[in-house]
Amino acid sequence: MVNESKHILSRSLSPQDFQVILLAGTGDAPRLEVDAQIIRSALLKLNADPRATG
Amino acid sequence: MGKYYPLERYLFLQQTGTVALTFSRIGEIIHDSLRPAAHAYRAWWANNIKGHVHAAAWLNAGYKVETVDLERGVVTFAKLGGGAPPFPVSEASGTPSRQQKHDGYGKSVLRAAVGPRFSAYGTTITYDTSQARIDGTVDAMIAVEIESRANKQVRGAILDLLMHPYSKRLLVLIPSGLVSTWSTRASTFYRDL
Repeated sequence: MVNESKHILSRSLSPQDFQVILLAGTGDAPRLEVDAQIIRSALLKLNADPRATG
Repeated sequence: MGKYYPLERYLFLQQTGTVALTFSRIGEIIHDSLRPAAHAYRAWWANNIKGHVHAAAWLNAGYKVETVDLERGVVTFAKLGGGAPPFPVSEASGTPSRQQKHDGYGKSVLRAAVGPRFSAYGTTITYDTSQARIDGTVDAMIAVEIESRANKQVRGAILDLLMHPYSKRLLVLIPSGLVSTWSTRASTFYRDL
């Protein structure tokens, strides 16, 4: 589904303007620290400063 | 960041089926004291987000309040596991459905990643006769959609993202109801669009 989502979004957006990520954890089996790092990496690719402030 | 987010994060990290906390311990976790109503009214501890926004702290973490002892100042949280409500659950019940539980997890991850820069208050825009709603924003410039359901719903989430005017988009998928394979037929269809 990640690839399909990227494919659809790429029809309308430039690659640098979107990110599609698949988390490792779920509400039933959270992996908070791992997933937070996945989010930070995606934001870095969107040119957003990934440093948490809170 | 919400006052009770540290409690949500604390519960997320617990591996046990039940977690008993004194009110004073919760105060240490949230670095603030509980409201007087928490000490006086059992209703404050209801597992219902409607009218009890603070309940999101334990419900998003996958816990519910099992018992509360106002005299001793102790609350026991029990994990929403096998006893979790069936999917979907009526919103009128105020109990989170599996989807809400996963989406709540996605929002918790975003808060853990970027703190208060993530706003979980998504906006809704209307186009023609439909509406597009996003789950939140980062830095008020990145639209965020969190999706944990089947592929059809993921495509709806993509449409919602595309309809909003934010300059960047982030689609967060949670591997609960997603189909991992993408059929060759679908691949061909999208490639030929």
